[in-house]
Amino acid sequence: MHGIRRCLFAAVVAVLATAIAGCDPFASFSRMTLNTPLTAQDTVFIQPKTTTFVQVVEQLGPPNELRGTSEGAVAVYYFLDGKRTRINYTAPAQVVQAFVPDLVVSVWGLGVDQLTIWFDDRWVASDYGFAFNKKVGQFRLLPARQAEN
Amino acid sequence: MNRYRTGVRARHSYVPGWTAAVLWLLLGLSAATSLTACTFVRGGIGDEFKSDQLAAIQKGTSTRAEVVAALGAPDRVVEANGHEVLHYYRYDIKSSSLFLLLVNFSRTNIKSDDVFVFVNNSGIVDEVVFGKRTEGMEFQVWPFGD
Repeated sequence: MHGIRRCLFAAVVAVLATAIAGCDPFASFSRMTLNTPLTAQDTVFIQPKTTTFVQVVEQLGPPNELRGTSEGAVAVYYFLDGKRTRINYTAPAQVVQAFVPDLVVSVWGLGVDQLTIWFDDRWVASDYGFAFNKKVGQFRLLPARQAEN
Repeated sequence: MNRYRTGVRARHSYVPGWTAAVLWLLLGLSAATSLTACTFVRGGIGDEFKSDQLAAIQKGTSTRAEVVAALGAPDRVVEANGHEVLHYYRYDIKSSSLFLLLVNFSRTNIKSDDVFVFVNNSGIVDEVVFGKRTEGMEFQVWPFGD
Protein backbone atom coordinates (compact mmCIF):
# COMPACT_ATOMS: atom_id res chain seq x y z
CA MET A 1 0.00 0.00 0.00
CA HIS A 2 2.84 2.34 0.92
CA GLY A 3 4.55 1.56 -2.39
CA ILE A 4 1.47 2.51 -4.38
CA ARG A 5 1.13 5.77 -2.44
CA ARG A 6 4.76 6.62 -3.09
CA CYS A 7 4.35 5.91 -6.81
CA LEU A 8 1.23 8.07 -6.94
CA PHE A 9 2.97 10.86 -5.03
CA ALA A 10 5.97 10.69 -7.38
CA ALA A 11 3.65 10.73 -10.40
CA VAL A 12 1.76 13.78 -9.07
CA VAL A 13 5.03 15.59 -8.37
CA ALA A 14 6.29 14.76 -11.86
CA VAL A 15 3.07 15.99 -13.50
CA LEU A 16 3.06 19.22 -11.49
CA ALA A 17 6.74 19.85 -12.14
CA THR A 18 6.29 19.25 -15.84
CA ALA A 19 3.23 21.49 -15.91
CA ILE A 20 5.07 24.44 -14.41
CA ALA A 21 8.36 23.89 -16.25
CA GLY A 22 9.29 24.94 -19.73
CA CYS A 23 7.86 27.68 -21.85
CA ASP A 24 5.48 29.43 -19.47
CA PRO A 25 7.18 29.87 -16.13
CA PHE A 26 6.25 32.29 -13.38
CA ALA A 27 8.75 34.87 -14.57
CA SER A 28 11.06 35.42 -17.45
CA PHE A 29 13.77 38.02 -17.86
CA SER A 30 15.31 38.66 -21.26
CA ARG A 31 17.90 41.11 -22.41
CA MET A 32 19.06 42.06 -25.87
CA THR A 33 22.15 44.13 -26.49
CA LEU A 34 22.98 45.64 -29.88
CA ASN A 35 26.56 46.84 -30.22
CA THR A 36 28.11 48.67 -27.27
CA PRO A 37 25.61 51.07 -25.69
CA LEU A 38 26.87 54.66 -25.86
CA THR A 39 26.32 57.39 -23.30
CA ALA A 40 26.82 61.14 -23.28
CA GLN A 41 30.10 60.49 -21.49
CA ASP A 42 31.39 58.64 -24.55
CA THR A 43 30.86 61.68 -26.77
CA VAL A 44 32.49 64.32 -24.57
CA PHE A 45 35.52 64.33 -26.85
CA ILE A 46 33.45 65.54 -29.84
CA GLN A 47 34.06 69.26 -30.28
CA PRO A 48 31.99 70.86 -33.06
CA LYS A 49 34.12 72.46 -35.79
CA THR A 50 37.21 70.70 -34.44
CA THR A 51 36.81 66.92 -34.24
CA THR A 52 37.28 65.06 -37.51
CA PHE A 53 35.62 61.93 -38.84
CA VAL A 54 38.83 59.95 -38.35
CA GLN A 55 39.02 61.01 -34.69
CA VAL A 56 35.42 59.96 -34.15
CA VAL A 57 36.12 56.57 -35.71
CA GLU A 58 39.21 56.13 -33.55
CA GLN A 59 37.13 56.65 -30.40
CA LEU A 60 33.79 55.07 -31.27
CA GLY A 61 34.63 52.72 -34.12
CA PRO A 62 33.07 52.99 -37.57
CA PRO A 63 29.43 54.10 -37.71
CA ASN A 64 26.66 51.69 -38.64
CA GLU A 65 25.41 54.00 -41.33
CA LEU A 66 26.77 56.91 -43.34
CA ARG A 67 24.58 59.24 -45.37
CA GLY A 68 25.36 62.16 -47.61
CA THR A 69 23.63 65.49 -46.97
CA SER A 70 23.58 68.86 -48.71
CA GLU A 71 26.10 70.19 -46.16
CA GLY A 72 28.30 67.13 -45.84
CA ALA A 73 27.56 63.78 -44.24
CA VAL A 74 25.81 62.15 -41.33
CA ALA A 75 27.19 59.20 -39.36
CA VAL A 76 24.75 57.10 -37.34
CA TYR A 77 25.61 54.65 -34.55
CA TYR A 78 22.88 52.19 -33.60
CA PHE A 79 22.84 50.53 -30.20
CA LEU A 80 20.41 49.07 -27.70
CA ASP A 81 20.33 47.61 -24.22
CA GLY A 82 16.77 46.25 -24.22
CA LYS A 83 15.27 44.48 -21.20
CA ARG A 84 12.06 42.47 -21.17
CA THR A 85 10.13 41.32 -18.14
CA ARG A 86 7.31 38.78 -18.38
CA ILE A 87 5.44 37.57 -15.32
CA ASN A 88 2.48 35.24 -15.16
CA TYR A 89 0.98 36.24 -11.82
CA THR A 90 -1.39 33.28 -11.68
CA ALA A 91 1.29 30.64 -12.37
CA PRO A 92 1.64 29.70 -8.67
CA ALA A 93 -2.13 29.13 -8.45
CA GLN A 94 -2.01 26.88 -11.52
CA VAL A 95 0.17 24.45 -9.59
CA VAL A 96 -2.78 23.50 -7.37
CA GLN A 97 -5.60 24.33 -9.81
CA ALA A 98 -4.86 23.71 -13.47
CA PHE A 99 -7.80 25.77 -14.78
CA VAL A 100 -6.75 29.13 -13.40
CA PRO A 101 -6.42 31.50 -16.36
CA ASP A 102 -3.11 33.20 -17.13
CA LEU A 103 -2.52 36.73 -15.94
CA VAL A 104 0.53 37.67 -17.92
CA VAL A 105 2.17 41.06 -17.59
CA SER A 106 4.91 41.73 -20.07
CA VAL A 107 6.93 44.88 -20.63
CA TRP A 108 8.92 45.26 -23.81
CA GLY A 109 9.54 47.83 -26.48
CA LEU A 110 10.68 48.25 -30.03
CA GLY A 111 13.30 50.44 -31.55
CA VAL A 112 16.99 51.10 -31.13
CA ASP A 113 18.92 53.97 -29.62
CA GLN A 114 21.09 56.01 -31.88
CA LEU A 115 23.84 58.58 -31.93
CA THR A 116 23.85 60.87 -34.95
CA ILE A 117 26.89 62.97 -35.82
CA TRP A 118 26.79 65.60 -38.56
CA PHE A 119 29.95 66.39 -40.54
CA ASP A 120 30.62 69.32 -42.84
CA ASP A 121 32.11 69.07 -46.34
CA ARG A 122 35.62 68.74 -44.83
CA TRP A 123 34.62 65.75 -42.60
CA VAL A 124 34.73 67.91 -39.47
CA ALA A 125 31.98 67.33 -36.90
CA SER A 126 29.42 70.12 -36.81
CA ASP A 127 26.84 68.69 -34.39
CA TYR A 128 25.66 65.51 -32.71
CA GLY A 129 22.71 64.16 -30.77
CA PHE A 130 21.27 61.04 -29.11
CA ALA A 131 17.88 59.40 -29.47
CA PHE A 132 17.01 56.98 -26.64
CA ASN A 133 14.20 54.47 -26.51
CA LYS A 134 13.76 54.69 -22.74
CA LYS A 135 11.03 52.09 -22.35
CA VAL A 136 13.28 49.16 -23.16
CA GLY A 137 16.11 50.13 -20.82
CA GLN A 138 14.78 48.70 -17.56
CA PHE A 139 13.32 45.52 -16.10
CA ARG A 140 9.82 46.47 -14.91
CA LEU A 141 7.13 44.43 -13.18
CA LEU A 142 4.14 46.58 -14.18
CA PRO A 143 3.50 47.99 -17.66
CA ALA A 144 1.56 50.99 -16.34
CA ARG A 145 4.54 52.34 -14.48
CA GLN A 146 6.38 55.06 -16.37
CA ALA A 147 9.99 54.43 -17.29
CA GLU A 148 12.43 56.39 -15.20
CA ASN A 149 14.67 58.92 -16.84
CA MET B 1 13.59 12.13 24.91
CA ASN B 2 13.77 10.54 21.50
CA ARG B 3 15.62 12.90 19.16
CA TYR B 4 14.30 10.98 16.13
CA ARG B 5 10.70 11.72 16.91
CA THR B 6 10.53 14.78 14.65
CA GLY B 7 11.83 12.85 11.66
CA VAL B 8 9.92 11.34 8.74
CA ARG B 9 8.56 7.87 9.27
CA ALA B 10 9.95 5.29 6.87
CA ARG B 11 8.47 1.79 7.12
CA HIS B 12 8.76 0.80 10.78
CA SER B 13 11.50 3.19 11.97
CA TYR B 14 12.13 6.93 12.06
CA VAL B 15 14.66 8.73 9.86
CA PRO B 16 16.56 11.56 11.57
CA GLY B 17 15.24 15.06 10.72
CA TRP B 18 18.43 16.27 9.10
CA THR B 19 18.69 13.12 6.98
CA ALA B 20 15.15 13.62 5.73
CA ALA B 21 15.95 17.25 4.95
CA VAL B 22 19.02 16.25 2.96
CA LEU B 23 17.03 13.60 1.10
CA TRP B 24 14.32 16.11 0.22
CA LEU B 25 16.95 18.62 -0.86
CA LEU B 26 18.61 16.03 -3.10
CA LEU B 27 15.23 15.02 -4.51
CA GLY B 28 14.35 18.67 -5.19
CA LEU B 29 17.72 19.39 -6.79
CA SER B 30 17.43 16.27 -8.90
CA ALA B 31 13.95 17.22 -10.10
CA ALA B 32 14.93 20.83 -10.70
CA THR B 33 18.02 19.83 -12.62
CA SER B 34 16.25 17.28 -14.75
CA LEU B 35 13.53 19.77 -15.67
CA THR B 36 15.79 22.62 -16.74
CA ALA B 37 17.17 23.39 -20.16
CA CYS B 38 19.73 25.58 -21.81
CA THR B 39 19.82 26.87 -25.36
CA PHE B 40 22.67 28.39 -27.29
CA VAL B 41 21.90 30.04 -30.61
CA ARG B 42 24.39 31.53 -33.04
CA GLY B 43 23.37 33.57 -36.05
CA GLY B 44 24.68 36.23 -38.33
CA ILE B 45 24.42 38.25 -41.48
CA GLY B 46 27.26 38.30 -43.97
CA ASP B 47 30.69 36.70 -43.90
CA GLU B 48 33.58 37.58 -41.64
CA PHE B 49 36.06 40.11 -43.03
CA LYS B 50 39.46 38.47 -43.37
CA SER B 51 42.64 40.41 -42.79
CA ASP B 52 44.09 39.45 -46.18
CA GLN B 53 40.99 40.84 -47.90
CA LEU B 54 41.46 44.19 -46.17
CA ALA B 55 45.23 44.16 -46.67
CA ALA B 56 44.64 43.95 -50.42
CA ILE B 57 43.06 47.42 -50.37
CA GLN B 58 45.72 50.12 -50.48
CA LYS B 59 44.97 53.80 -49.98
CA GLY B 60 45.96 55.91 -52.97
CA THR B 61 46.45 53.01 -55.37
CA SER B 62 43.59 50.50 -55.21
CA THR B 63 40.70 51.03 -57.57
CA ARG B 64 37.00 50.47 -57.03
CA ALA B 65 37.24 47.31 -59.16
CA GLU B 66 40.00 45.94 -56.93
CA VAL B 67 37.92 46.67 -53.82
CA VAL B 68 34.96 44.82 -55.29
CA ALA B 69 37.26 41.94 -56.30
CA ALA B 70 38.53 41.68 -52.72
CA LEU B 71 35.33 42.20 -50.75
CA GLY B 72 32.57 41.58 -53.25
CA ALA B 73 29.71 43.93 -54.05
CA PRO B 74 29.11 46.46 -51.26
CA ASP B 75 26.03 46.28 -49.07
CA ARG B 76 25.43 50.00 -49.56
CA VAL B 77 26.85 52.75 -51.76
CA VAL B 78 26.61 56.30 -50.43
CA GLU B 79 27.58 59.61 -52.02
CA ALA B 80 29.09 61.97 -49.44
CA ASN B 81 31.45 64.93 -49.67
CA GLY B 82 32.58 64.13 -53.20
CA HIS B 83 33.34 60.54 -52.30
CA GLU B 84 31.60 57.37 -53.23
CA VAL B 85 31.51 55.41 -49.99
CA LEU B 86 31.30 51.63 -50.25
CA HIS B 87 29.82 50.18 -47.06
CA TYR B 88 30.26 46.52 -46.13
CA TYR B 89 28.79 45.10 -42.95
CA ARG B 90 28.23 41.86 -41.11
CA TYR B 91 26.34 41.05 -37.92
CA ASP B 92 27.11 38.33 -35.39
CA ILE B 93 24.45 37.13 -32.94
CA LYS B 94 24.99 35.02 -29.83
CA SER B 95 21.99 34.13 -27.75
CA SER B 96 21.67 31.84 -24.74
CA SER B 97 18.82 30.96 -22.41
CA LEU B 98 18.39 29.11 -19.15
CA PHE B 99 14.95 27.62 -18.52
CA LEU B 100 14.32 26.81 -14.87
CA LEU B 101 11.15 25.55 -13.23
CA LEU B 102 9.80 28.96 -12.29
CA VAL B 103 12.06 31.49 -13.97
CA ASN B 104 13.64 31.83 -17.40
CA PHE B 105 16.68 33.93 -18.16
CA SER B 106 17.92 34.79 -21.60
CA ARG B 107 20.37 37.16 -23.14
CA THR B 108 21.10 38.01 -26.76
CA ASN B 109 24.15 39.91 -27.92
CA ILE B 110 24.33 41.41 -31.40
CA LYS B 111 27.32 43.26 -32.78
CA SER B 112 28.39 44.46 -36.18
CA ASP B 113 31.60 44.76 -38.14
CA ASP B 114 31.67 47.61 -40.64
CA VAL B 115 34.02 48.53 -43.45
CA PHE B 116 33.81 51.88 -45.23
CA VAL B 117 35.88 52.41 -48.35
CA PHE B 118 36.06 56.01 -49.59
CA VAL B 119 36.57 56.18 -53.35
CA ASN B 120 37.37 59.55 -54.98
CA ASN B 121 36.14 60.93 -58.31
CA SER B 122 38.99 59.16 -60.11
CA GLY B 123 37.87 55.79 -58.80
CA ILE B 124 40.85 55.47 -56.44
CA VAL B 125 40.57 54.57 -52.77
CA ASP B 126 41.24 57.57 -50.52
CA GLU B 127 40.47 56.04 -47.12
CA VAL B 128 39.51 52.73 -45.52
CA VAL B 129 37.72 52.58 -42.18
CA PHE B 130 37.29 49.23 -40.46
CA GLY B 131 36.04 48.24 -37.06
CA LYS B 132 35.54 44.79 -35.56
CA ARG B 133 33.04 44.99 -32.74
CA THR B 134 32.28 41.26 -32.82
CA GLU B 135 35.70 40.31 -31.48
CA GLY B 136 35.42 38.92 -27.96
CA MET B 137 31.62 38.82 -27.95
CA GLU B 138 30.48 36.08 -25.57
CA PHE B 139 27.49 33.87 -24.90
CA GLN B 140 25.83 35.25 -21.77
CA VAL B 141 22.80 33.97 -19.89
CA TRP B 142 22.49 36.26 -16.86
CA PRO B 143 20.47 39.32 -18.00
CA PHE B 144 21.20 41.53 -15.01
CA GLY B 145 24.22 43.73 -14.38
CA ASP B 146 26.64 44.75 -17.13
